[in-house]
Amino acid sequence: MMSGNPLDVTARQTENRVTGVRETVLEFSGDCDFVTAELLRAAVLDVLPDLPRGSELTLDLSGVGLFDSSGLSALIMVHRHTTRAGVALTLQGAGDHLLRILDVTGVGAHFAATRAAAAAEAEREPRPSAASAD
Amino acid sequence: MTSFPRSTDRPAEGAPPAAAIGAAQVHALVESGIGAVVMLDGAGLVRLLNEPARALFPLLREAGTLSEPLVPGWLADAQNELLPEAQGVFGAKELTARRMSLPDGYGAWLLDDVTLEVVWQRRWQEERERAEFLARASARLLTSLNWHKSVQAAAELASERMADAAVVVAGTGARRMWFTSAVDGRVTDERVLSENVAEVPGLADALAGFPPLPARWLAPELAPDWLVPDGFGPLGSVVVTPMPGNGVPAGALILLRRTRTPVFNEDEEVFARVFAARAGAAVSAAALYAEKAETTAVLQRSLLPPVLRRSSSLDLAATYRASRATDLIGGDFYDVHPGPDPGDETFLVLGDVCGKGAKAAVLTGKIRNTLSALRHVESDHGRLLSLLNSTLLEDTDSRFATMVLAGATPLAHGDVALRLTAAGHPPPLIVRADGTVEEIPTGGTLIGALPQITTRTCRTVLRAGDLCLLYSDGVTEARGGPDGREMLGDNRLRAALSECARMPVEAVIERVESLTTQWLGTREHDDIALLGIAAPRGTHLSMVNGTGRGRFTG
Repeated sequence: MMSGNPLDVTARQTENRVTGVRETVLEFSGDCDFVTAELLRAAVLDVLPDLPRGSELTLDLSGVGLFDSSGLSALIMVHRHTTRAGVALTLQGAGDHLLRILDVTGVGAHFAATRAAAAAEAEREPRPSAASAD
Repeated sequence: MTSFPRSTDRPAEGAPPAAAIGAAQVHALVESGIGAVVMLDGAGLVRLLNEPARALFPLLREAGTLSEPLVPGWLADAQNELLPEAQGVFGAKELTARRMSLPDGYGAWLLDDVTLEVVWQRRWQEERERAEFLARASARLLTSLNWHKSVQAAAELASERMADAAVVVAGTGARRMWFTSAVDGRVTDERVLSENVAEVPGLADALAGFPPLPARWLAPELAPDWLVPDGFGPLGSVVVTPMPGNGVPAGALILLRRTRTPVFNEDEEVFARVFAARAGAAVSAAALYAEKAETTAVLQRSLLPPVLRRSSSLDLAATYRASRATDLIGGDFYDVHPGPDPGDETFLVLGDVCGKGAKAAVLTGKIRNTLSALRHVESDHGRLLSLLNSTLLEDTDSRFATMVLAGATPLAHGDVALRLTAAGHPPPLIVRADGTVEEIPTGGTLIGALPQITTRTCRTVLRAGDLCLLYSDGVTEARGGPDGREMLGDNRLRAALSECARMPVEAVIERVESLTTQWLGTREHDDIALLGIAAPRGTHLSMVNGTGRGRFTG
């Protein structure tokens, strides 16, 4: 509605030298609203099948200007998929407005709780890839 | 047989003598493929007719004259006046004639059969006119998305160009047929069709649209009287053409011609089909649009916020401004459910559904219905919201809603006890009578997207002159101001509210609404919903110290 800037996505892949865990970073720039939120969702669903369980997916939102309820809905959907795939989702570079939205809606707390639960799970069953890392 | 005077006795000057050309050669040339030749002497008598000329004018003989009916009148006239050329019809043929003057008063007519050229030219001209007509017809058919007008346009256009009269029979939905007839480009009759379509052979099939049928010629005597416009005169020919729509037939077009107008030929039938296809597409697009507009209107009626009733125990005011992009089907909503008795708690909710359009509207309706039923079995806000959350939770969709629930119970002396619970929504603000603005520290998870939710309910008391404002983020996130991108924000809202102390609740809602719209200027905005709750005015102002503060209990 108030948008005008399209949402662009750039994908980067790195490997954590300490843990050996593969990390994928999706960098978003533009507005994430009713019109473009679907792009955020599609970008994640696009890379997700290639990510092994236990890997990290980071969404870098530092280039995102407008972020509305449709964007939040897309984030929740994305989080559902990553949780199911055993991929840890991290939000990076969220602006004040988005942080406030995550706080007021309880979505930030939910993401944190999911992450803590997954970490506890991983603690109980150490992954071979993590164990073999130098 | 024929002599060629002086044809070979002139010597070629200055050139080496060549073999003389004889009558045989010239004769062979004339008889060969140079077209029809008729040669006449100075007295106008035919002196030579070659084979093609004899084929054109079988009754013409040598030594005869060029006269009707041996040759066409226009050629006879052209010979009498010694015109250089002439053109006309002879039998089924279209001919052109050129006259050449020959020595000694002789002359010759060279005739060409141009029937094919003329026919093609005429066809080309017709095609051009049809294409122009179709372009004009399409433009007119598509100017309106009004079903009624597009049916009228189809009938008028067809009667203007393709026939003396045109009838469009189109379904209106509800199993009824709408009958429109037009003569010479003007609608002459339109009504619900009470007659049986089966009385017109082929009409029922054309209306059913299956199997796909070409246009159908109809013997005029088979056409029932109701099909023919009043005063039309004797019917010459009739064609019934289906008007295919988008997937479903839009109706049928019936073209009528008078006896003195030529009957429909195959070209015209094809043309009628092309026109009917365009008209059908326009009519069915208009029908789909009408259906959509009707759906929107029905949804809007059911989703409009309630009209607030005056109550002696509670002062309420509310406003709702749908964003322009969504018209009236927006994401914000509010509801007020008074208790059975005036002393009972009134249940209020103001919320915001993520997204817009039909899906958001459906979710809004679901939430309002579920809450209005669940509040009877569950009075605790936290449990009520959990029940609502599990009702709305869908695996395939992460559409959610945020809301504030409020319970307002009248107390003694006109005070009002409030329970307030925000779920993923900006917490309500309280404006005390002394101008202090307090944010209620309630908070909770949004509804409908996460498997578990947590909420925190707060309680406070509104005394005389206090006001509680429930609002949607369309207010605080309104983008405008000097640079057009800045959000209105909490601080500006609070500052405005603190100036509203002791104002009637309607006035406060109006003030916040105008603050928001002024901030927006002419820019687009999200839905804006406001709901104000205050203790009733005038009942106890003199009895109680109106500046007392309420208390929170978490």
